Amino acid sequence: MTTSEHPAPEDLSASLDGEAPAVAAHVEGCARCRADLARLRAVSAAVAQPVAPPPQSVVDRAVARALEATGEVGDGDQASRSGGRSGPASRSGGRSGPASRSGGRSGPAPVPLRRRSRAFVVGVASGSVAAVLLAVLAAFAVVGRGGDQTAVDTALAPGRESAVQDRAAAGAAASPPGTVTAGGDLGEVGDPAALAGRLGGRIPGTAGASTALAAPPGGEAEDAARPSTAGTPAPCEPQARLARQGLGPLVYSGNGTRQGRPVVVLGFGPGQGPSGPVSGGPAGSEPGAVSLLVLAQDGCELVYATSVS
Amino acid sequence: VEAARAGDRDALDILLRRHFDRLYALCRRVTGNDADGQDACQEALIAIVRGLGGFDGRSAFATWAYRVATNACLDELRRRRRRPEPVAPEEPASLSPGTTGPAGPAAGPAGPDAADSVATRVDLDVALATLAPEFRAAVVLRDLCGLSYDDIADVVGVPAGTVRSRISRGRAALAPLLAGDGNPGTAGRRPRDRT
Repeated sequence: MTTSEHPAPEDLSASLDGEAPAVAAHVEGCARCRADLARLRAVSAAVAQPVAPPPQSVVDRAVARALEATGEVGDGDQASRSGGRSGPASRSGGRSGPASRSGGRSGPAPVPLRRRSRAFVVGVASGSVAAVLLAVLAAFAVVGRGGDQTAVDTALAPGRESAVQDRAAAGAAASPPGTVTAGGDLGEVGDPAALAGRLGGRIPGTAGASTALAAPPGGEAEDAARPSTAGTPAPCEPQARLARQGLGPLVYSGNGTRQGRPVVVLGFGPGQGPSGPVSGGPAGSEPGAVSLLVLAQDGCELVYATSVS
Repeated sequence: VEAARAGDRDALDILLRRHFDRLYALCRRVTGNDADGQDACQEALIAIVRGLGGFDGRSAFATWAYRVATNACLDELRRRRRRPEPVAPEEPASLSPGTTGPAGPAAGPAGPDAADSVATRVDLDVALATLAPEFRAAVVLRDLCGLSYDDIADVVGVPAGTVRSRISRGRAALAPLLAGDGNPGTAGRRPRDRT
């Protein structure tokens, strides 16, 4: 290029980025190219305007959800999900190699904020329908047995004979009726394995539990069996059921802290899958085990899940 | 990065927070709105966590993270099936518009003031939305993120010459819109890579 030839638009643009130094001499003496360059510079400056960061709560949630994925990485399919996400961002070709993005979609992933909100609405609506159906079935059972004490009725506190009817009106994603062990304050619950070890035997149905109702352990938390509040979900229970499919009835409720953050600890009995009891716990949980979910008290984000049998 | 790769959860937390703002800025500009930007950034963070074990250190972590985030943005855009109306001419002959304005010939070299002015004329998001996502990503990676052409080529997986072309044509398409000379969706075609 000579100083009398106008540079190609690509070269002019690249000169703005210091990627075409040879253009500079021409631009210096060419009014048209200086004007063109000024327009490009204005575009560049407009695009470079700082982006307002989102609220800190959004950052916290996004990081927390990403950290949840560290648990899923250990599920055994890390390579199939992560490898595809780190390739170049080309949209053409390479779909089956490291550059493939679709390959990263095979496994379950924490759901982005708005999609999770939609899922929550659907979940709550489904839970409402399920609660009504359950109440109707329970009412039939009571009538059919002539009002005898039933397994369902054992959940009812004195004076709550009308709880079955109450349940019919319940709209939230609550547990089926049963006995919930109130675990109280568990203190620091940062280690999933330690938590499972501490609660084994304190939750009905787990090894070492002497009766259907867990005996007070005399430890740092005073366990006490209490009837579930029919139709009313425990704190964060709906979110727990959204986070893990197939959870059975709530059997344990406690609280604690994890890295200084208040959390709730919920235990769920085995759920009922198409082919029998299933655990709603992490992959590899023993079917029939009690699933323990630890959720942040503020926002009910799932911190981690483990199981105890 | 090494500690995070080794499974140190606290290190990973710090790493994600340290890079969050710049990744979010990329996602926000490429997707065009806060909600999509947050979703894409969320996906990017998850992908970073899952793919960290495969990060080989051949590129800077920031460049690799930009690559993951760009993928997440393109995925997000494809999911939403946003296909804005084309506007830019295939071969922009000259950038001189024949009109004057804050960023026009009479204004001289444009500075931040000129940028503020043009940005208020036409919403930057609307203008960027007229570009094909690949062009948009290239321009944003250069002008907002400050990546070199070689790094952008690494991020998007195309030759540096293609990056150079996409940036040039993307800027050329944006120029009349941001200067108030164009109307998104009225004429022309979006720039595409030459085949």
